[in-house]
Amino acid sequence: MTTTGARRPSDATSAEQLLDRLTAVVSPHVKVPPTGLDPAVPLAEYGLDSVTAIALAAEVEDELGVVLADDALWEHPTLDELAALLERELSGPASD
Amino acid sequence: MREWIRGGTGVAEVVLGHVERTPEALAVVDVLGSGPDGPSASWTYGDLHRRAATVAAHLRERCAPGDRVMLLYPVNRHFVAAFLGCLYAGVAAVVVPPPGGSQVQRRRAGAVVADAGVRLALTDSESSRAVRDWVAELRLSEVDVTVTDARDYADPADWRLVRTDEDSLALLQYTSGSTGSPKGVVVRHGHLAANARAFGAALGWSTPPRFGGWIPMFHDMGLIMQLVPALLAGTADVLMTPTAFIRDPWSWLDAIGRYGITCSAAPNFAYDLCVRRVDPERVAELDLSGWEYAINASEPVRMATMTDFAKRFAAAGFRERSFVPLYGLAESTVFTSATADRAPQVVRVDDVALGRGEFTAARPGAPARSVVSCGAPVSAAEVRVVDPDTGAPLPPNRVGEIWLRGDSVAGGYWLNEAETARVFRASSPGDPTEFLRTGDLGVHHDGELYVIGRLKEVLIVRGRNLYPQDVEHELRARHPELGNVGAAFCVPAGGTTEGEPGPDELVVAHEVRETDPERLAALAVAMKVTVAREFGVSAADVVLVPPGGVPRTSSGKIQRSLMRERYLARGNAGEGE
Repeated sequence: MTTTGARRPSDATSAEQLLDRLTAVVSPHVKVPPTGLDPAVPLAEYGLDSVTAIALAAEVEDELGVVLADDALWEHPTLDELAALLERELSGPASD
Repeated sequence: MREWIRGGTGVAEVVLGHVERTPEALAVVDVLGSGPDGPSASWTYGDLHRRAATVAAHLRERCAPGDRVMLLYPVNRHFVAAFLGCLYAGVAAVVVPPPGGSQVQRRRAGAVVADAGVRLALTDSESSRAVRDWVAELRLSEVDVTVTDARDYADPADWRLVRTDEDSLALLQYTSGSTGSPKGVVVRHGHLAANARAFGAALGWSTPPRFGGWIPMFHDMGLIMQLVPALLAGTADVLMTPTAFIRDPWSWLDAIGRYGITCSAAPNFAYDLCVRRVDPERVAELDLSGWEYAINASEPVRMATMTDFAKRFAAAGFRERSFVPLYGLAESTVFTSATADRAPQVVRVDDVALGRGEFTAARPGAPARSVVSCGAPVSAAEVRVVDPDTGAPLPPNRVGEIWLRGDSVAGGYWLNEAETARVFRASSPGDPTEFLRTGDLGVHHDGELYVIGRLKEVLIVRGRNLYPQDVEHELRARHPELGNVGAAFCVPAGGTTEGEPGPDELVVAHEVRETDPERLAALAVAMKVTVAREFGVSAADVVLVPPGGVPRTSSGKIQRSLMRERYLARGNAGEGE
């Protein structure tokens, strides 16, 4: 289980836009500029730990209006996978 | 300082005194949201007593005094009721985190069940599913699970106080030992009382503070330096979860002002996190003027952190003299040394001389390091600094292992005579007096204790003990392509601030037969994911070496210190794979 349902429907968002927004959110948390983040590389490579993961998940939730499960960033360890998860969440019907 | 506990009584009797005299006094608050409209839930001593009595009635049917009962709760008031219920029933609490996604943590809790001989686990409705899944997964068929915030599982009228005395077992603290062989520190009622008295004397309060914070209750700092003193003093403990703090560090500081918390403790990293992550525009919304004791403990204390924090939050009324750098460890119940009500004392010492074990003033132009005092040892404890190889006491200003003696030193490790003898019964040549050896390095200077580092191979990351063999073992289990030999160790983070080394970073060196550079690179990344997921920390570097690349003794023992020296000597930039 990775998410517990969308809080509100978001604007129509393409996968690419999502990835850009996500990269912008992640960048200051791992102290790597957006251009230095390879979306196919696990965020652990950039120093993601449990404290950063919780802070990051909170900001992604605020930014995108979704609720992430505690282990979402470990189940979906790269930006690509995380963006794909968020795209499914945001386009799918709100579930519980 | 008023004596909290008369000789011969247990903690439960003291709390019952508060229940009788001040049933309407606030006992515990769960902070459930921040800001002016943030929700909370609270219990008075009367409310808490009814819940604890229900737990005790249940335990009376199921356990004999002295049995060990495991408590797996989030940070909330239901935990407090369960813990007090255990004290009422004379059973020993074994507090561990509720099972989460980390396999290492799940296995560790299983090993604790076996070591402590647990037959009953208590939890709340929020964690009950995770606890039952964990019991099933590890096939812990001997363990029954009771949900203590459920209705009608026991009748509080059936409760009877089990008389305890100073020698009665209060809890087993399992923060020591690796996952494979956890060690339960034996804490008796007398230790809890003695430690609370020493803590109170060191802080020197005239009226007991209101406690609160986000340190979890499975951590000795949360349980024994926050909840237990609050219960003994009859004041309140205001609880929030670590996750709430990490999501929004502002919420911790907000709770301190909003709920009138006057004593709140955290590891150094938490104060750093507040400086980094609290929006400066929101500082004015905070009121930290009542925060008398900002305890900084359970990882190396950094002056730069406290200076930055005091500057940033001065506008909210925070005073630098509220900082209390504190030294403690589970083996001495928890609290060991601190001095309050003054600006933190810091000494600039010669870094090169420190490497030789000498604590001397820094010379102009030479490398220097700032070390923060953990205060004068309390009168109830004797602190000795000894040569770790011979046990001979060292004079002031010589760095050695910190040894302790006094009524806070715990009763050894549960059913582990060999380790108990090694750690709790150390003595100096020609002097049979027994001391606890802490494994920490420190120095006496001007009558105060300065903690310098670690002698043992335990890594401290964000206030948690991490055992290198656990990291190495887990990596081999998850990545079978690795060989049998690896070494995890800590190195100072790259930058230094005003002569203070940054927090330590974890490095893993491991042997592997693979030679293909691309596969090696992918393996190193996968190993970092494993370390972050299972242990919650980031591995700053993973070094993969051919078989024979990690040094071992002739008997096969991994030489982590030697590997660390080699790693530092070769320079660690850009040689990750």
